[in-house]
Amino acid sequence: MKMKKFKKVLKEINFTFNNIILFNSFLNAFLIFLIIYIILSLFNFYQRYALVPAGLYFVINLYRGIREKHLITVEKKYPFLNEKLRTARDNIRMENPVVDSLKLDIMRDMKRVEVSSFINQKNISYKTLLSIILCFLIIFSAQFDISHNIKNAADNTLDFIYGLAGNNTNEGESGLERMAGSGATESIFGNAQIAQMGDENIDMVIKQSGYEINLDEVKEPERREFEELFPDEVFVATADVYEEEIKEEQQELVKAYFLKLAES
Amino acid sequence: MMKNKEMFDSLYKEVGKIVVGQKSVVEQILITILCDANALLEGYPGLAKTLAIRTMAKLMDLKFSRIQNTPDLMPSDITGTYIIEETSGKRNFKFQPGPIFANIVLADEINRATPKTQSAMLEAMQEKQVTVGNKTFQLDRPFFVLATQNPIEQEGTYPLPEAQADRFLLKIRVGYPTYDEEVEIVDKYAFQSIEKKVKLIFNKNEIMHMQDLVRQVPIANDLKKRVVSIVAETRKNPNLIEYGASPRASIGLVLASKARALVKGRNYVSKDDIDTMAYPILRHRIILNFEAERKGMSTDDAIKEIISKVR
Repeated sequence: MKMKKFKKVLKEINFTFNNIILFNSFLNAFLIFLIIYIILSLFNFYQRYALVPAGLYFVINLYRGIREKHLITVEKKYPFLNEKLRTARDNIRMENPVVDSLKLDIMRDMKRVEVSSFINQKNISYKTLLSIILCFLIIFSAQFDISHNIKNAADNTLDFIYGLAGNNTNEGESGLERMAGSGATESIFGNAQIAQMGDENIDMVIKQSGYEINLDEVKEPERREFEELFPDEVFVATADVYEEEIKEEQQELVKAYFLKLAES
Repeated sequence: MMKNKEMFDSLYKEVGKIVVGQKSVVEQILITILCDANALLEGYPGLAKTLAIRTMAKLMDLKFSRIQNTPDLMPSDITGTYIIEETSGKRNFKFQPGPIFANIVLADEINRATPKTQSAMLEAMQEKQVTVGNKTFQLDRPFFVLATQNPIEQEGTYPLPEAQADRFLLKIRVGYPTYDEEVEIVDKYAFQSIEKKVKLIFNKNEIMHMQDLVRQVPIANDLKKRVVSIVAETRKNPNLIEYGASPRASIGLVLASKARALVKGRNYVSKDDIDTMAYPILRHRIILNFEAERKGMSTDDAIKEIISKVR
């Protein structure tokens, strides 16, 4: 009976510690995810890749935490349990007066152990606050397209550097593109003139960045009159099928018929 | 457990009425008794070795006998012999038991006895029985031999071989009292005649019950490994120790640690028990090499170094 009760105590200790480790691992992994997400979004990389290091960290930290010796942690925190817990655990199958008295002592002393003493509340509060701040930062960076602004700032900086170095700057080419080199652009994206529609060649240049719509540049359309917009080539003409030669006497007959219908 | 501790505290108190100081010696003797083993006491003359053992025998209601070993002591002087007894005109042989037929036997200056006599004593210690002629006599339980050795006056002595010394669980070093203790001793014994009565603390059955309890005291696996590591380390230090301790030392160290835990009122063995008992357990089981002896190291110094090495 005492052995069963004591086993229950040990299971409870392990269960509690595993829960604490799970929560801490999840919180830390979430923080890592948010930080890496922000960094990736600032440089316009695939943000989903942030799941990989966060997931790895979660699994490794959880594994290491579960393998830790929880009883030693409790003993270190509560000196009155020092060496007792381990001894009772190692001799759990023994049943004699001395071991029974040890188990009873432990079950009595465990009532003085508080779970909250193993939770670093300050740490958790700071981490939670940080994760909230990071979430807001992500929303703000999406709202104000900070990644685009950073790219513009980077381009301007590089233009300045190139200008100082005396390099020719091509219009329409961003600093990043210049750094990459137009040859590199063509080799990655192919020739600039690739599209052919009908007999005309359409010049197309693919920009490796800035393909997204900048909401700031989207303005209300200009109000214009319909007659100005309507193309001249478009006109109305009756179809030939309706222009058949009918005799004048027959035309008079039809006309009189309809007039009579209208009078009646 | 607390009840046992109170009894041990009463024992110390009662011994303290007769023997001043020497608390660690009394504790180690008590541990030896609880382990159902034997101990070797080493100390200079006049340090209350005999007095402490005799007092403890009185407190435990145990029959006490003292054997003063001399070079001419014969095995039959210890074990007993057959004598001719005449009753109603008839003569027959009757076995006269020797001083070894007691519960606590104090073998004074065991290194003075011849190897033959020493072996008769050691056989009784090991087997708890005595063979005289073709008859075997069982010794009364509990049975302990507390042998003493004088570290000086080695002339004409027969030092115990290591194999024989290994049969003693502990080698207890009896040291000089402190200044204050010595003043108290002088007050007690130089100014008044002492015949203080001590009250009985344990009886035989209680001692045997305690001996069973000692074996039931649990020890953690990591501490068990620590014990084996300490003993094994004595065999792995050729720059310090020529001959290390045997597995008998591992058994002894675990047992002595359990007994110490019980004496301290604990129901588990702690690391402190092992580190404390390592000294009396190992000091007579290791032989230092020439280099260590040249440096003036003692066996206790070597044991201290080994304990600090083992995590």
